[in-house]
Amino acid sequence: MTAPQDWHRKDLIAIEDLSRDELETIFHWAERYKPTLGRTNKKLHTLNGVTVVNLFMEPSTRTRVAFEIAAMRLSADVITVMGDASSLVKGETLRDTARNIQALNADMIIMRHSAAGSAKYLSEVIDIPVVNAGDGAHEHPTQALLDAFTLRERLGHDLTGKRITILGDILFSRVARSNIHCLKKLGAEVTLAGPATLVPRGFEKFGVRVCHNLQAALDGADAVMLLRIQHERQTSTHFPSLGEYTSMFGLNEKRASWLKPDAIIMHPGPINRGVELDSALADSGRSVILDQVTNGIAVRMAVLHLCYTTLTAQAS
Amino acid sequence: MSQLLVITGGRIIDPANQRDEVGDLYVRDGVIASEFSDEEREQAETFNASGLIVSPGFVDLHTHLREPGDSHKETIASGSKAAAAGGFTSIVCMPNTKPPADNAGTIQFIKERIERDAVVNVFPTGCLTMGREGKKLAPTGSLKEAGIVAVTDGGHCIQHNEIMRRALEYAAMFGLVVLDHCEDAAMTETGVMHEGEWSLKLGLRGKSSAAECIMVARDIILAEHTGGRIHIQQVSSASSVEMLRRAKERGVSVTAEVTPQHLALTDADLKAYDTNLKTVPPLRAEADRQSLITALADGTIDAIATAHAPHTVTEKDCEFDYAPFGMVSLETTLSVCLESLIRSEHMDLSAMLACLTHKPASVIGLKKGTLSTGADADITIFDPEAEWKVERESLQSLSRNSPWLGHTLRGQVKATFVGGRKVHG
Amino acid sequence: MTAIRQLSSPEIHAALSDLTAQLAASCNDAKPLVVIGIANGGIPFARKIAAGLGETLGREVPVGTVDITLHRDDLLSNPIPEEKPRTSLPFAIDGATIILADDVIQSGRTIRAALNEIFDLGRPDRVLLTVLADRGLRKLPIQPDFTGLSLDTTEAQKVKVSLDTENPEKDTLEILHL
Repeated sequence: MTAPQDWHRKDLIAIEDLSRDELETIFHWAERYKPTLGRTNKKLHTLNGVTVVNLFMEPSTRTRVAFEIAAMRLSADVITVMGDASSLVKGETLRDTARNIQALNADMIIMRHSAAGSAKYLSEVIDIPVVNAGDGAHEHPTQALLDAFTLRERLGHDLTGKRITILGDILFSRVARSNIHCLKKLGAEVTLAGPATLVPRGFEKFGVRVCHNLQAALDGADAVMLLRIQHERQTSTHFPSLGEYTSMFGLNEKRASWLKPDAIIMHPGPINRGVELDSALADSGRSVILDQVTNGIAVRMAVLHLCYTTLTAQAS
Repeated sequence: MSQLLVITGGRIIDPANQRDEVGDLYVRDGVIASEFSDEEREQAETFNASGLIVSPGFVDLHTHLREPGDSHKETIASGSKAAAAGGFTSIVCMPNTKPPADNAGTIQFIKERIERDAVVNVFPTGCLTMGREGKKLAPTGSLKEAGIVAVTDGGHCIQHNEIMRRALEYAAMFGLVVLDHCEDAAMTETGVMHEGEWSLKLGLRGKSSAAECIMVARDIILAEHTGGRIHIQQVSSASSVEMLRRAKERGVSVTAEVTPQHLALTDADLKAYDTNLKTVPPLRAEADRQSLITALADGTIDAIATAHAPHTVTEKDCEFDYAPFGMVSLETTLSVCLESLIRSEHMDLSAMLACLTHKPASVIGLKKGTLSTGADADITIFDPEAEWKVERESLQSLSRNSPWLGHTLRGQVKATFVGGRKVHG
Repeated sequence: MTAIRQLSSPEIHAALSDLTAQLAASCNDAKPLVVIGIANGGIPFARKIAAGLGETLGREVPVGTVDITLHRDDLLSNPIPEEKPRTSLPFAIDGATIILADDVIQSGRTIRAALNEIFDLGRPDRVLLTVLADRGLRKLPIQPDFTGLSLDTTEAQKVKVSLDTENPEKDTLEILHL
């Protein structure tokens, strides 16, 4: 394993910004934190007395809860603020909302927002650490970190040359973008698959393979990451129907047999059972979906710890 | 007694008359004179322009002055001061005011404000359709009588082909050019930047260049069909340029403009999500930018227009998705064009100044943009090498939404004369 | 760095024997007895103590490890931690007597952190602290129950212990000037 060597940022905005060494530093701490999750007393004291605000300008349950638990495990006080960022109804600007939160002596902000670039914007208008919990279709860095952490557990710490296929709605997916950057930095070979309307050829500029033939995309892959198909996409022009999607791109037993025999199946959740993923496969031994959820806590503990550390190091 | 001015020792570049020489320029009673008598010479006020360029005042086909309705962003007073500071002596203002300029009363109001407040020549345009909604034709004849110089839905593109066709036919009857911002709405309604590598990277929704090119093609077909005069605003993509080039070869009555920002910047410049770079049509890819420069140099594109679109700091200080489109440009156009066109050796100075003076004037038939004897003495004097910093304090515009805020630019207007009267410098 | 004083393996072994005897005397009840070494330096020391105790008491004395990283009081000032073995207690600690072992005690901060880590994992009956060397310079009110060697040192010095479970004759302890 590569020893951790580098960390100097107080904000986690995008995987694209991170070096390989920074990724390894996060994984190192996540590995330390993970065993503590199984203890009877799960509370550590890393962020004792630190106030963490979860600012969710777009609804989310699992990411919000995972961040809340991660912060609580580190003894931080956690407050969740639900907002509505829609341009039509919002009264207060994001700058004002964030600066008010900072004025309440909050020490960190975790933000989910529907607008790409909003996490970066937030980090520019306030001084306290900002952790991006998903900004529009841009990035969802902690999801990519927990996915890579899970892959490392299952496929070995060195992902060089591992073949990972990401299948589904790539165009509108922040998860896909963060994963592409993360997996590329870790040396994996990434294939994007799905309907051409959701997986444009332009992604080839990211150094990945774009494949609209499912068998070719899955053949010999070490892992497949499924992305949730958004029901609302049906009303747009991107694909004809959920039924058509399932019959063309849904992962079932037969299609899973094209993967390597010990390949794993991943999904950031929530799953549409029977749409992008066959129900029996979701519950099979090849599925690591629940491991991803658990690892999400360890990874987020590592991220909160590291970002806050940079702030205290700057202050001292 | 006559008002006399002599501008001495400058390099006079008057592209319309193929004049490029060091010499003196004479102004008598607000118009260009060929020479002064010895007596006049003694009496004349002198402006020493040695080491400077003396050009016809610049003409802008595309300015948003925001008055009436949004005078917190810009007014006819502030916008015309910004124009003067940028070397523009004539500007054509867009009708997307509040209320829109789709009626003679609004035009009358704008004319009165121009009379009262403007320091440069300001020419209003009228709406093509009522409320700029693309549904019902505006009273073009009455608007012309009220004083408009062209018709446009300013920032909106009529989607309905039949209405566009009739609008062209109807405007042609009054000899008015239709200025069109080409964009297929259904293909672009959620887009905030150019659709391409960078929109994929940044996770921002794209506007494809096809959406522009489709409407450019539609406009060319209708211009050809109706015999009407169409002017394509803010051409931004290589495919649109190609469409225009072929149309011009066929002799279609079409002209086009490009903005300094599209000549200088690309979608890659959006990587920091700077809302001051959010504009429409969007900043496109490098290949598009190169093609625009080529098209300007070979005459496929006729004019440089600013598309000066002021928005307040507050409006731009937000998430990229929510920021309004547009940037201020009047005061940086000269410096930016010198950098993108001259210093990069794509054009010579005279050819560039043609695109800022008599060529835009001729698009809508304005008798402006030359230093011919007897012409209005609208004159811009600039130092192509002088450096200046774009700062809040250094801009005359009420708004500061410039991509070059904080940058040091080369090329500065030293004096601007309108009708022989100094309005800047 | 120059060595100011060097202790040979016979001196160290004498100290270890004394410690083992004292520990055996205080831990001869029927309660489960375990030795926990604090990573890194405490691990070989714990192994030697456990082996000696096992021999003296005639029963198996299991050895575990605690990693104090997550309880360090300077956790937030150093993002790059030292790579160390992780906490591993392959036995129940509820109700047990724990001999907490470290090679050197100085400020007492490490011991505070180790106690936090242990109590996160269970509730021992009793914790006894043993160190091979007490170099003084305490900053917390924590004292070892059993001390092998008492050294007089200053902040400018470093105590370097090297214990070898395979080759006891290579055991050394040096006081170095930084």
